[in-house]
Amino acid sequence: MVLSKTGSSVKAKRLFLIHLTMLVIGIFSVDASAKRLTIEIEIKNHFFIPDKIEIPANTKIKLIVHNRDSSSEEFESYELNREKLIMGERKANIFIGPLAAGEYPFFGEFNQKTAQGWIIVK
Amino acid sequence: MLDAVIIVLRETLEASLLVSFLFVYSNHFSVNKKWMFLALVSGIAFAVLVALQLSEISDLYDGTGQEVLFITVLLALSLLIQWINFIVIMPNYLKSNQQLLKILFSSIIVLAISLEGAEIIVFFQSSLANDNHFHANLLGSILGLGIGISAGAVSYYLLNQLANTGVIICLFLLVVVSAGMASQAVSYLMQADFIESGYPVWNTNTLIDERSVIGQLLYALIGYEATPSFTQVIVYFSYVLIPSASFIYFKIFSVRKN
Repeated sequence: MVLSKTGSSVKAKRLFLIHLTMLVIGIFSVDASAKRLTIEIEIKNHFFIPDKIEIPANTKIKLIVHNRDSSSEEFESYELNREKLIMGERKANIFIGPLAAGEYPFFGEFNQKTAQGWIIVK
Repeated sequence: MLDAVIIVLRETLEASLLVSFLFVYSNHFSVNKKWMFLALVSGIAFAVLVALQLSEISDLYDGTGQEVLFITVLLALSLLIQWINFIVIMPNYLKSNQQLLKILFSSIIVLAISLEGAEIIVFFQSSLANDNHFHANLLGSILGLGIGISAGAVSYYLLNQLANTGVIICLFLLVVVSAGMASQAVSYLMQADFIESGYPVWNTNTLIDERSVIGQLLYALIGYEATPSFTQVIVYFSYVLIPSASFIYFKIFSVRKN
């Protein structure tokens, strides 16, 4: 069957719309399936509370760090390759993982003597 | 105090080494340095602006504003540096692009100083709110800043003395610096969950600890990362291999032509 020029363009348009719909559905379903664990911790008087967080292996988590101090802090971890400034009395979201089992230390760069924490992946 | 020295030194070193390489280039390719001094001053002004607005910036885009800013600046910096390297590598292109080089040099200086400077200012603000350590942190910051700037000055004079060899070293270092910046941008993309965070491809912490002095220096110089993800490795090596291949190609090509 020979399609006219307009016929083929209509077909192409339809095909495009089908793909677009599939893509949108796909993205939303992937997003829903990857619904991640959220863990909230605090910084108080330059300490992380709690300073140990246990998470399951091979899972992505959203770590929300609430800085209750008036001074800013930098969340940093060499093991996790993460680095984020958290201003005074603000919070920050940091996505972590998926990780293999093990211990991953993190620290507050501006107050390293006190601000130390560990993510324990089991 | 030592913590303050290291925090400020790390940020200062990244910017001051980059600026020193650009100054060596500007001497060698006789690019007017007046704009670059202006860029230094505007970079500091931008750094103050970013630091003061960082709370608001961080809250943008569902709490990923800080990452968006850093990714944009780091990618812009890495691409601008690569652009300069291509101009420098291509023999015929250089002569007609003095004006362009001047703009590129200045833009890089403004961006680099705003980025690194903002982090130093935020640290300093944090020290101000912390009475106990203020004096120690102030002294440490001044020391860190001083050592960082001196390192830049020493690098400038040494590379300048080496003439052509110095320029080749600059070219090499600028390639790895830009690769490190691109890899860092990838790391921020993962931190903000814009791309999937992968498992580390290797772990060289037993070889060179990222926390050690050498590790920190390598981080500032070549963007050393002990546990990089696959995407970071790919991006890093593309940034290194593409200009290296072009450099070899143009060198052989120009030698054959002569």
